[in-house]
Amino acid sequence: MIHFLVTFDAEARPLIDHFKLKRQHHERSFPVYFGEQHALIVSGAGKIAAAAATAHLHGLTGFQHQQVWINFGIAGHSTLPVGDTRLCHQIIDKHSKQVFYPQLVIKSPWPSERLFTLDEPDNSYADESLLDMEASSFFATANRYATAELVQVIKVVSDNAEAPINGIPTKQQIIELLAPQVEQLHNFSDSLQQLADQLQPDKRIGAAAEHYQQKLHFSFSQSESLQHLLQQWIALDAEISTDELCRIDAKSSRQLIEKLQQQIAAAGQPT
Amino acid sequence: MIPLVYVEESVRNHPRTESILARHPRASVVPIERYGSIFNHSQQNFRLQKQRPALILANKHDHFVQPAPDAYGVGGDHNWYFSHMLNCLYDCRYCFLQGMYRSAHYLVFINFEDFLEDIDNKIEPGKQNWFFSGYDADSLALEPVTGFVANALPFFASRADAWLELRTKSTQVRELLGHEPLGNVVTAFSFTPEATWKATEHKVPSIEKRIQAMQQLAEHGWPVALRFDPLIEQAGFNDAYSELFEQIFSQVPESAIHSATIGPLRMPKQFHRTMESLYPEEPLFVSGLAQRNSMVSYPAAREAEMIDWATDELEKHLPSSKIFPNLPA
Ligand code: SF4
Repeated sequence: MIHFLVTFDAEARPLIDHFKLKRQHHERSFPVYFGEQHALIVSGAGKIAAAAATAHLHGLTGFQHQQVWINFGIAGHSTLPVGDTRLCHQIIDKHSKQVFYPQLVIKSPWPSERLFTLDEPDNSYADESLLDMEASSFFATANRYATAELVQVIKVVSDNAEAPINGIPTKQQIIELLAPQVEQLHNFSDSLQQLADQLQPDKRIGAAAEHYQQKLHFSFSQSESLQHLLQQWIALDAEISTDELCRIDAKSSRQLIEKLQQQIAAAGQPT
Repeated sequence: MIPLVYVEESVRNHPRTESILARHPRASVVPIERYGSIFNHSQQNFRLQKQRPALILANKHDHFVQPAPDAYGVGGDHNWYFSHMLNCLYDCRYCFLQGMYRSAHYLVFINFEDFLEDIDNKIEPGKQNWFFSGYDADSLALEPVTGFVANALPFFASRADAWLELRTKSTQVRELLGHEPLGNVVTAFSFTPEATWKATEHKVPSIEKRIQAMQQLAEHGWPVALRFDPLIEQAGFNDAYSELFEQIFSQVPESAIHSATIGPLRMPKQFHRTMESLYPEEPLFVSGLAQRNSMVSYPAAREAEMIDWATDELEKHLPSSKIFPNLPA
């Protein structure tokens, strides 16, 4: 699942259209949209809202770990032209001085840049960096659920020292800034999803474990052992079917674990 | 290509930093306060980072040179190791670095002079003092980036009692070939048989290419060495290692070989657990390994049998005085 967090409704619009997301009308805390592989939440402005929205979306998508998280939206910058897009390699919370490092392990269509998250809007453009009001708390929260390689912040420059912000840009201005980036964002997020897939357990393990758990009683640690042994069996025989993993006959969970251990010891010998 | 270079502020203006950055003009440069804010930070994943590591340039403050683990040693009086770099260009599935670090980024400590000064302090005159690099990295694979060997050679050239081992699976020998050979700088090449190389030593140059690099060094008068450490279990173990030895010794003269070491595959159980959870699909972590006390290894009897057999087999090619089987207690 790819999770998007945006600040404003207008930032959501190009993503809703592109990924054909549906509003979840029963959700009252934040506007939330779901597609088959994508989920989007509109946090509203500020760090507290961003952290709360990130945590809320995590719950709504089933508290899953090692999924993709992307904060996409507009930001200020002292010198970059309006419309330029950047991936963030360093996020500094200006108030708390905390520094976060999204890990950039896939090729990005955009150059990377530092970002400051501010508590208040600032028109001085004193730092040669992106400026927003959400990214630090989004990253700090999402990084609890996913490794730093899967949590990314992408910003499109909406204002700079020459074209300073006077209030929030109009809805139409935001859509026009973000929409041209969505195709590339789609490819980028798919590549992140491929990374996330590498961290997901083999589906055969869950299916076979469920088969045995329906027949026998397992304590928590036995259940962990069962999954570990099934994983080891698959490591030794990559092509093994779920049916084959389920073929062991045992009268108790203990006996099953012993039989699995024997099976793996035999299969692990060089031939 | 290195996409990103994190640079500690304390070394930002170091000439070595400048020259490394000049050689990576397209990399984004990110200033950092301390390398610990990136390297080994929790909530990072070694497997994912390994797919596109960044470079970290930092300053090391202490513990430059440490006593070498017991299993190290090729007959010297004192054994030390040092790590001017952590992590490796290659991706050997049995490498303990993946169990030890959360980060796969290449961390280079650029204050080489401090390492060399500490080496100088450790040398006991009149003794054979060995300094092993390549404990936390491949010693040569990233030489074009780090330039460490280029700095170290003049130092060792003037210190006859200090011996340097460069341990490698690379073919990056250009720096050595451009320098007068030194009898006290030994380039030790690690090998496993073809099937293990293919299955587990990702991105490592082929056996043949490494043998050619050894040959080149030997022809220029540099001492070379062999490391069969760790020995990896495989189907047809004896035949595979016999063939490997044959392949090497048919091309590299025995006289050029300083030493050969043989060692077992052993790792702390916590490292094994981390490595297995990073690569659950990897058969190596399951095949024949067992837990013994706090370590994971092949069963004691099999381990001893592998080492004894490989020692006997090597003696067909090398005098036993050059062979160092390392079986730690
Ligand atoms: S060459 Fe050595 S240091 Fe590099 S990955 Fe392989 S075992 Fe590890």
